[in-house]
Amino acid sequence: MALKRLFGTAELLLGGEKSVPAGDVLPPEAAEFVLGVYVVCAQQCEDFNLALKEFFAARKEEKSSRFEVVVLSLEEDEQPFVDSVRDLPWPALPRTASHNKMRLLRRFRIKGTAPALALLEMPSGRLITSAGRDRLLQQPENFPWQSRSLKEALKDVELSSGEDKPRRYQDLKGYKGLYFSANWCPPCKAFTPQLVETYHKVREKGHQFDVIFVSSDRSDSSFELYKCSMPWMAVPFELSDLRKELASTFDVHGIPSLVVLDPDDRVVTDEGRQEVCDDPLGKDFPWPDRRIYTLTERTLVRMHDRPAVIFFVESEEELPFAESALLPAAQKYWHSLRGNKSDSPDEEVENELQFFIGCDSDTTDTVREFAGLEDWVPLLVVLEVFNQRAATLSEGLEVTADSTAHFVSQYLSGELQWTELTSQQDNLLVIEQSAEGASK
Amino acid sequence: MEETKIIYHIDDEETPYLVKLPIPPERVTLADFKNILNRPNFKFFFKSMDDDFGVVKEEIVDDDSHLPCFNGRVVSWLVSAEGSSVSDRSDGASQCTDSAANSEPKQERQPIGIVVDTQTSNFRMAHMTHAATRTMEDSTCTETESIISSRPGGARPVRHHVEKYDKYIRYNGLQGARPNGQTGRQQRSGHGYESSSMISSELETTSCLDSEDDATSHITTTTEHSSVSRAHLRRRQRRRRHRMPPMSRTSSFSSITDSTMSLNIITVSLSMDAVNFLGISIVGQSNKGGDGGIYVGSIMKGGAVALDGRIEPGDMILQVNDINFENMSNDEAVRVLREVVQKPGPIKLVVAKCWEPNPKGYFTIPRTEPVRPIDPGAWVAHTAAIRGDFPLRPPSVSTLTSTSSSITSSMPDCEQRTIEEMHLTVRTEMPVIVRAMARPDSGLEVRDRLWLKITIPNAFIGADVVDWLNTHIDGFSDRRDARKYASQMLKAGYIRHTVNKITFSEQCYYVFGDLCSSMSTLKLHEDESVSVGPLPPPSATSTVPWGGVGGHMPYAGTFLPHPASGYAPMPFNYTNEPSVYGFEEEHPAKSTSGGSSGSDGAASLVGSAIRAPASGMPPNLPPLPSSSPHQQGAASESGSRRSRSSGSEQSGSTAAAGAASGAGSAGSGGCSGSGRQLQHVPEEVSGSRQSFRMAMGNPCEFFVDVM
Repeated sequence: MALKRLFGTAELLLGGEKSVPAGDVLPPEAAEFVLGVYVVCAQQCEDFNLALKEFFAARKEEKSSRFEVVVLSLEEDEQPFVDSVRDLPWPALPRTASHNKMRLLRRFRIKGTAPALALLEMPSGRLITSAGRDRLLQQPENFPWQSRSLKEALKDVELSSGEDKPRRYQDLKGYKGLYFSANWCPPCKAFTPQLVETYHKVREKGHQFDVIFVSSDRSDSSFELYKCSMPWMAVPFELSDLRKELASTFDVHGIPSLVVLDPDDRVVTDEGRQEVCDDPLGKDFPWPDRRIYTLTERTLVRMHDRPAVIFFVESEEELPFAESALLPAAQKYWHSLRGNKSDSPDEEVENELQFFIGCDSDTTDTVREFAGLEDWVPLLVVLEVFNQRAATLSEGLEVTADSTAHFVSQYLSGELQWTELTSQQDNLLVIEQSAEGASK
Repeated sequence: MEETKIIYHIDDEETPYLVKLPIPPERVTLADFKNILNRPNFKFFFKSMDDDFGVVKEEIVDDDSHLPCFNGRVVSWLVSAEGSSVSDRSDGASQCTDSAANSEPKQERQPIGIVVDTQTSNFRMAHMTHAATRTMEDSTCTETESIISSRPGGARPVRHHVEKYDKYIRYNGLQGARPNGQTGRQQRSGHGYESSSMISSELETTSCLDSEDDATSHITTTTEHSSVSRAHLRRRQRRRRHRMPPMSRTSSFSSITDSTMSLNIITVSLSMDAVNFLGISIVGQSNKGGDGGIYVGSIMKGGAVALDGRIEPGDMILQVNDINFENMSNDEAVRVLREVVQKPGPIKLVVAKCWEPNPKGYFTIPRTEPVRPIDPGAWVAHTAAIRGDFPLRPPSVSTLTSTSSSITSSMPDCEQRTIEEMHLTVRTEMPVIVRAMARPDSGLEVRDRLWLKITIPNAFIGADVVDWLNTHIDGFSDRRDARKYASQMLKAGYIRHTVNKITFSEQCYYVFGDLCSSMSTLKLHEDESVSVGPLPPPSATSTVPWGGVGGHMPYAGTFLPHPASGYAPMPFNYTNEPSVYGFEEEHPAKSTSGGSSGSDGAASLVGSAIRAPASGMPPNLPPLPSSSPHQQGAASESGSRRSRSSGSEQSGSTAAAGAASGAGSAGSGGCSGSGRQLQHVPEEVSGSRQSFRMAMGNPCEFFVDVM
C-alpha cells in the first residue's frame, strides 16, 4: 500500500511495543485523509505532545476532514525509543536505522528540531507542509495548512529596496533568493557580506538573481540598520505575519538561511547558505540539486542517505578531467530520471544518485577510510553509506566517460559487486598497520 | 562454421580489438593472426595458462604455434617491438618506450568491438590482475604497469609478463588476510574468471621489488599526456595525514559564524523568588568582525536557570529584562547582565538557540553513538539535555580545594592516582577516604552554599556525600551503609555540619572538618614550591594541547571554572565584588593541564580564565602563582562528571567554534596523554592574552563569567 511505499514498512507499533498491520489502524489505502507524521524524540516533546493530542481530538470531533497521525521517533535505542512513543495515542513507525529516518525526514522536508509535524495528503503521499508544528501552535486555523504560493503571498507587497522605487514580487523574472536573517544574529552578520559578494558575482555573470531579505529582527530600527548592508529588497518589517509565513512555507528554522527559487518559484535549493560558502563565485549558481559536487565537509552530508558516485582524483588540477568523465554519465542519468517522472518536487526519486568529485583532502580521506578504499587515483566508487557498502569500478579500466557511464548503468541495473564495509575497528586496524609499515 | 575470436590489446589503448578468424580455435596459429593484422613491428603476447604460475601472458614468436584459447577466445597483447630499448628489464619482456609510443600513429586501427560482456573471461582476466595489484597497498612494484601503460597512443610498453603475473597472483592470494573488506573485491574482480583464487592459493608469497617503485615515479613524471594518463590507475601521493580517530574528527571550519541561530527566540522570565542566583556561566565570543555575542556556557544545578529548564548551554543571550544586547559589545553586555543580576527582583532573559552547522553523521560520529539525523540543532540541544550539562562545581574556590588540587598535580605519590586507582574500601582509613573526597576531582560537589542568607563556603550536601561514598568506596552493601559511614565521618569530625548538628542528614549542608583543613594547609606549602615548572616545548604548547581542547572548549558543559584553580572565590551568591568579567585570555599550554581528558582541559581552561577579584586583585593582574589546577587524576573522575564532559564535547562546538577553527582539527583524539608533561605552567605565561591569541592563530576571544 501507499503507506508501505512511503515508510518502507506496513507494520506499525502501538504503545511502542505491539506490532499491528498499518491497515488496522489507518484508513484503507485509497481513502483520502491527512496523515500527520509526528517526529519525536524522548526529550522535550511533552508540550507539543499535549498540544497535538488536543488538536487531534478536536479534529476528530469536527469530522470534516480525516486526520491521522503516525509517530516517527528519532530514538535509536530501545529504551528511549519506547519512552518517546509509549504515551502517544498514535501508532508509531518501528525503530529503524538512522538512514531510513534520514530518508523519511528528507522526504518530509523536516529539518527543524523534534518535535516536528509534517502533513501528507493521502493517498497520494504529497507533502502539504512540514511546518505543522509551527502552524498548530501559531495559526491553527485553516487546517491542513496548505501553504499559499509565493506569488499569492507576496502579491502586491511592496518590496522595499535601497534604490529608487519599491518592486513587486510578480515583477521579478529570474531566480530569487529568500534570505532569512537578522541583525542580532552573529552568524547572519558574518554571512551577509559573503552573500553580497556572491550576489554581485552571480549577477555579473548575467544571471537574473534577486534577493529578498526576510527579516527576523526584533525591532524596526535593527531591521532598517541591517537592511542598509544589503543591496537588495526586503519584505517590509511591519508585515510580520508574512515574514513568519514565508519562514514556515520554506520550513526555515534557523538563520541565516538562503532559499533559492527558480523563475517558476520552485525551490532550487534551500541550502543556499552552504552553497554560497562553498561556491562564493557562484560558478554553480543556482546550485541545483542535480549537479556534480566537489566533495567537501559540507557536501559530505549529502552522502548519508543517498547513494553517491564518487570520482577520486588527486589534485584540483584534475577537476576538469574528472568532470569530463563524470558529467556525461550524470547527465544521462538525470535525463533518464526526468523522462519517467513528473516535475512535482514531491515525487523526488528516492535513492537518487549523486555525483561527487573528491580531490585529496581530509574529507576525502575520511571517506576513503570510511569506505576502506585504497590510496589509488583515479578511483571511481559508488558508496551507499546507509547500506554500508561500496563498489569500485573494475580495476584496470580507465575512468573515462564511457566506463563511468557503464559503471553507473551497472549500478542501476544492480550488476555491481558490492564490498560490505567492515566495521570501523577494522578500518582503524588497517590504518594502523599501514602507518606501521610506513615507519619501518 | 567454426570461428575463433581474438581479442587483442594494442599497447595501452583502452579498448581492445576483436577479430574473428574463420578457423576453429584449436587450429588457429600465430601466422593466422598475423596475416589478419599485418603488423610486423609487434611482439605478441597471449593469455596462457602456466602450470606453475597460472595465468600468464606468454610471448609467442613461432608463427606455427597454436594460440592458447579459452572458451573459444584468444586474448592477446600486442606490444611495439621497438620500445624495448628504454627501460628494458632483465626479463626482456617489459618495455617502456616513450619515443616509439608516440611515433605510432594511433588512428591506424579502429576498434572492432568493445569486449565487455561478462563472459569474456580473458578480458576480465586482465582486470583481475589489476585488481590484485590495487588491493595490495604496498605492492609498489606493480604500479609501474598501470602508469606506463597509460601513455596515450601508439606503442604499448608491455608489463604483462610471467613474472608480473606471478606477483599479482600472489597478492591475490594474500588478499584474504586483509581485514579491509577486500575479499569482496577479489570476488568481484575474479568474476568471470573461474580460477583466480585457486591459482593464487598455490603460490607462496614473496616480497616486492622495491626498485620498481622508482621506475614508477620516474615514468610518471615524464608522462606528458596527463589528461589521458589521469584515467589510469596510479597510487596517489601519500598525503601527510593527521591521523585521528576518523569518526571523531572535529570540524576544522566550524566557527560561530558557521553556526545557525534559531529563528525562534525564547523569552524566559525568572521570578528569582525561590533561588536568588541565576547559576549560569557566560561565554563571550568575538572575532574579526567584532563581538559575536554572549552565550550561556554552563548551567549550574540549583540555579534559577536550571530550575526553569528552558535555557541550555550554548544559547545566545540577546536581552536581559528590557535591555537589548544587540548593539552592545560583549563587555557591555556582561556588565549590564551583571548589574541586573545583582538587583533583586525577577529577571527576564531572551535567548536564541545556537546550532552547530554540520551534522557529520556517519562520518564523524562513532557508529556506536546513536546518530541523530535530524537537524544538528536538535541534536545539540538533545545531547545537552541528555547529558545534563551541569557544571561540576560552582566557581567558588576554597583554599582547601585549591591546595588539594595542587597536591594532585605536584605530588607523584598516591595523590596522583585517581580515586579509582586508590581502591578505597570500607576498610581504608577514614582520613584517606576523606582526603579523596576532598580532592577537587573527586566528583563531590563542593561549593559555596547559601543558607538562610549566610554563605557557607565549600559546602556539600549530605546526600551527595552518601552518593559519593557509595560510588567510590567498595564494601558498602547498600546506600544505607554508606549513609552510616557518612554519619560516622560526621561524628569523627571529618565532616562538619554548619551549625554543628551531630546527626547526619542528607538534606543538610556539610563542610570538611578541621582535620582535613590542616592537612591541606600543609599541602599548600608543598605546592607552592613545586607547582611552577618549566615551560613545555613550544610545539607541544601550540598544537597538541589546543587540539585537545579546541573542539569543545567553548561552552562545554563543564565550562566551569575549576574549583581547584586556586583563584579566589567567585561568590555564587553575588555580593558586591567587582566584575570578574574580562578574562579572555588563556594560554594553550594551560589547557593542556587537563591533558587526560578533553573536557577536563576545558574545565581548567575556564578555571584559569577566571580570575576572581574577590581577593581584591584587579582582573588583569597576573593571577595567583599557586594556581595551576592541573590534575591528571581528573580523567578518571566520577562517572557523572565524565558523562558531562562528553556531553560538552558534543554540544560545545558552537561557541567553541572559533577556537576549533584554529586548532580543533588537531583533533580531540590526540590530546590524551600528550598534555601530561605540561603540568606546570607558570601563570604569568599562561595568562597572557597575547600568547593566547598567537597560539590560537585566530583572532577569537573567549571569556567566561559567572552569575
